[in-house]
Amino acid sequence: MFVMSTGAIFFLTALLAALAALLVSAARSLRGPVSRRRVEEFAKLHWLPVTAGNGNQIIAYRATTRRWRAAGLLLSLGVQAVAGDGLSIQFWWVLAGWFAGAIVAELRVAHLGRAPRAAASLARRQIADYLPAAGRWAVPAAVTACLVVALTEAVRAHTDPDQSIDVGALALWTVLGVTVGMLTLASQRYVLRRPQPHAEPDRLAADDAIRSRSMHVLAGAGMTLVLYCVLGQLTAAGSLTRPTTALLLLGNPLAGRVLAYWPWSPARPHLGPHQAAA
Amino acid sequence: MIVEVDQDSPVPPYEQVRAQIASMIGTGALPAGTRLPPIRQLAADLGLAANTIARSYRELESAGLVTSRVRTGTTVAAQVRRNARTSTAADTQRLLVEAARGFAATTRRLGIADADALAAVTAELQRVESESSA
Repeated sequence: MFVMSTGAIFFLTALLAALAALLVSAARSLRGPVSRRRVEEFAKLHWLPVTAGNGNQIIAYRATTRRWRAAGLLLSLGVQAVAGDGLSIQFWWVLAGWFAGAIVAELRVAHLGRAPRAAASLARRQIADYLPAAGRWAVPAAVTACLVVALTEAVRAHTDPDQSIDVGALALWTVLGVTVGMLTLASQRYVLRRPQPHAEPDRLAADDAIRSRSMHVLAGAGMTLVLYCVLGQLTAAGSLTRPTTALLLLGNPLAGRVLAYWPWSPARPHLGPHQAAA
Repeated sequence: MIVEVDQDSPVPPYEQVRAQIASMIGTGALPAGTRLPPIRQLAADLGLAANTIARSYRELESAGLVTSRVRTGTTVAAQVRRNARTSTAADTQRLLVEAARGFAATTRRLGIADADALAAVTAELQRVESESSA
């Protein structure tokens, strides 16, 4: 008869409680109102003064992104519960569901409305205005790592047939990693190109902060997912070491979290001296 | 630098955009070397088709006001602002036409009657004349 120790019961209870809290929080995100604290957090991350003009813009953005990310996460958990064996939950799929929701959210975010007389700035928008260098290079670097690992392990499998390398799984993880990376870069480009008609300075500042937030989240989540694919590649190739596992399993999501919530004040080249002073 | 497009104006949108950018270049508000936004960006921001902005840029390029390169995009041309000694009669005529087009587009956009617009030009010319003779 299988008897659980007190420590194991405590650990399992804590795990189930955390999962329940996550589910309740995600379910509430689908419908609940955006709290003032969330708006203040957003404003603080981007040094954005919240005004009567841009307050609703931020709330609408937070509500849309939160709803779709939570929906992606819940859908992923649901699919795993139905298709998986028992109660096992794979973090990769949870993050992938959340990431898919984040991308859909970006397609659904409302952009600034146009006045009857359309106006626009002649300043170029560049990703560097919205993301620090680390954010710009995180995903391309992760994709490069994915390709390098694929190439190295493929060469190893070819030169030494005795190695127990699951070539099929290696190829699958490579394709997944590159696809996620390309999807992330395409989404960032989409966010950059989202229309920005000329509007009041506070609303333009909020729009820039929204773009910056979206790009940060996409960069952090995209990099983490691609590096999880690298973890999958190394597992398939049987060349996973303990430090690499720790780095990719724990350090990777931490780095993604730090990157996603890195404070950043977007450059606002469209504001002339007169408007900047206002 | 802000560009405006009035959809109700009889002046076509490409001409409105072209005239405003040409005017900014002519006055030096857009100095040589300034990179203009990509066609898609400006088109999306103004709610116009990319072809409309592409036509504006093409006309600016054929007037020698901007240059287009694959890598750097569209930039304000370096030889736009010539002084009186080096500019040719053709340059002067071109700049005059640019200024007139910009003025006409602005007049149409603001819905000003032709007589009032011409009166404003005459008054301004007289003011400049009196200042220079004083």
